[in-house]
Amino acid sequence: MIPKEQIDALKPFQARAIIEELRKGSVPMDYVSFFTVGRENWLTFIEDDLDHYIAEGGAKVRFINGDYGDGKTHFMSVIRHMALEKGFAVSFVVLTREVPMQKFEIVYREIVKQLRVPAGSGTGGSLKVEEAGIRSLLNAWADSLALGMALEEGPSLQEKLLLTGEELRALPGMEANFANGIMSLLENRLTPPQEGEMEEERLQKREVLYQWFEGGKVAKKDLKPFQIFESLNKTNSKRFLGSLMAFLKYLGYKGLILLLDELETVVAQSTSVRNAAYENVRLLIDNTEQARHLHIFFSIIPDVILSEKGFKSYDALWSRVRSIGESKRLNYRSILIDLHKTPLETSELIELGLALRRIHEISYRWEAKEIVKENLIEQICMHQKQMGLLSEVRLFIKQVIRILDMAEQGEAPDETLDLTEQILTSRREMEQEKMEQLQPRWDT
Amino acid sequence: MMDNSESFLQEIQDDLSEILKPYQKQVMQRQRMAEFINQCMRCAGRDDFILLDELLQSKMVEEIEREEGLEGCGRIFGQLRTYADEKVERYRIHFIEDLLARAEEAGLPLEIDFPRLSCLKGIEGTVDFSKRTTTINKKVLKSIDPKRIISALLRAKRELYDRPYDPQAFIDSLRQTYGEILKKEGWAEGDSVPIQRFYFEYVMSLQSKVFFQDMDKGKFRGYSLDQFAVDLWRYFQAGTGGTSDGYALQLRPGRNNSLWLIDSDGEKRQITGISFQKAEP
Repeated sequence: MIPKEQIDALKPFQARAIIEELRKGSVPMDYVSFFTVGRENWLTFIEDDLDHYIAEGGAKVRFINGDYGDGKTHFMSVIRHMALEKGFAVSFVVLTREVPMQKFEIVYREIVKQLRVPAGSGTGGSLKVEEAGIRSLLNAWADSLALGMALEEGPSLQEKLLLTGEELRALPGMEANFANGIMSLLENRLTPPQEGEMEEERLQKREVLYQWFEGGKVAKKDLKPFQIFESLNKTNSKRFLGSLMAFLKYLGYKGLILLLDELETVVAQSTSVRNAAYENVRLLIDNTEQARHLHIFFSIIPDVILSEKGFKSYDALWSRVRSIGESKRLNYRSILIDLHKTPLETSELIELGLALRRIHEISYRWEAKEIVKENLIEQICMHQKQMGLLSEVRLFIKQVIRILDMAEQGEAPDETLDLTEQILTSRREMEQEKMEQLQPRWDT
Repeated sequence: MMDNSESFLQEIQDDLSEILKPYQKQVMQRQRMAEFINQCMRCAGRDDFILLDELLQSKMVEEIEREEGLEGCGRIFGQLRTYADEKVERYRIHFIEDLLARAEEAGLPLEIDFPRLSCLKGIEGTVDFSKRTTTINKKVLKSIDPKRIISALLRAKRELYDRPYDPQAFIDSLRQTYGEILKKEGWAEGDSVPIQRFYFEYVMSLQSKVFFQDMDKGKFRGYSLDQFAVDLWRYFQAGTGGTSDGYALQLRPGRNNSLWLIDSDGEKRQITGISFQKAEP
């Protein structure tokens, strides 16, 4: 159920931001709960996994399957929201040609860039959820440590740093370089300047460390003083991920949830690139046997499973995921979260339509109830069902918003409203969006 | 004189033929254009907007518009194109229903998970409504006309399933080809034979003596990869158990130099090698 009271409490600006995002076919990440319907079964099982498996030290990989418009990104945003509320750190990464799955070091760089943590937890409450990236996280943690030291009496700064260093280095999965990096940063942030040391010099050193944590290219000689001997590369990227997880756990988060969207870009790549990407997926699946407190979600389109260029083309991966789609009955614990096979029910879509109507009302300060009636929303669903497109939530949203827009501008949908026309126009728009998405970005 | 007149007449024939050729080509082209316009008229008469839409997307339209005396068609084609396009888009609402009804009529077990469709193991397709194309087993049909989709599916079914098929004879024939390759290469019994080589030899084994005497394209007996994949699947399904002389078929999966075949689980997989092993008593 969509929380009606929460919708009513939306400010016009917030409501408008939601509608604007939806109109262009994107997901308003921070407001997903306002227009999330159905999928309860999947979410219940994911919630159960987070609480009783991942938080307890488990690790797993799952795939979210759905066609374009089925709501994969939306569903991932709901997971992101849920995980943050439960105290997990989350990173939502869109896999593209620029962030390709076959180069995990680049994916890792994006993971740390997109890292989000729950507001007011783990780091002494100084980090807001809006702040993203490992730099903000490290900063907030250092701030909270500084504050704690200023307020508390106890061991000296040097002793405390020593103790923290020992704790960090002893963490399972923590690599020496990573731990040294953290300690160097703490020293840089907390210890007073040495004799003759300029503030600028200190800031420069700090920047080197931040860049190293962000996976940037840093010269070895600049890293040496911090006892860091490796920069992020192909071979150590997965170890870095292990260290990051250990660090997050140390900070008090329940684990790390990785949401990797649009794995399907791999299918269109050359065989060697595809194989390298599938090998990385395979390694992540296998690594979950040793990893702890980690849940990875990949979003895919049905082609990734069905086509010859999909998982089937890489035996080592296919043998691990081949149970996908084997049974006609739905298994909510299966490795595959099949949104395509579990489209929203008509009643759920209607509920979504009503929520959108309310958000639209707040957004443009008008009364829509009498003009855009519930039965009109119902008819839109029926038309979509006839076309075999009931699962395309995005199409439904586009249609509802178009009708609301027109109604608000004075064109009340009467009985002669051509719903077929509406659905076709929305479809054309979506085809257009799809084409634009397929354009290689370097050409634009 | 006799010789001279013969060559003279031959030359005359050749010259006239050369003059006639482009003219005839032109006549033929005009005939095709007239037939095309007639077809458009027939479609308009029947309100067959799907075929009309297809016709009006073709290159012929441009040629007609350029042709002297037919320029007037351009405006009418434009109007018709808008009409047909609109009707086809609206038809989308009834497309699935129509396709399913026609499949049932034709006795095809069609399953639609729009835009994907499947019908029997080894026959799969995708409909791209916006591009007005349907792909069935990698063959692109420039149409979304249910009639044509069903015909294409029936054609695929006929090609893959409606042939005399005896699983025992099939597996024995595979075993024979396998044995011949082993002998030729001096490989040991049970060795894995590269699947691409095997497929080639097997297709050759199906050819008649006439083909080897005169390797004419028309005498070649085709055996597509899809047929091979489906025949294997039908063999696994039949539960024959192995060859008549007690050998069991083994398909080796892999990625390099492979063929996409259907394995014993009914799964399409990349197969790199084939072998026969003595079945356990």
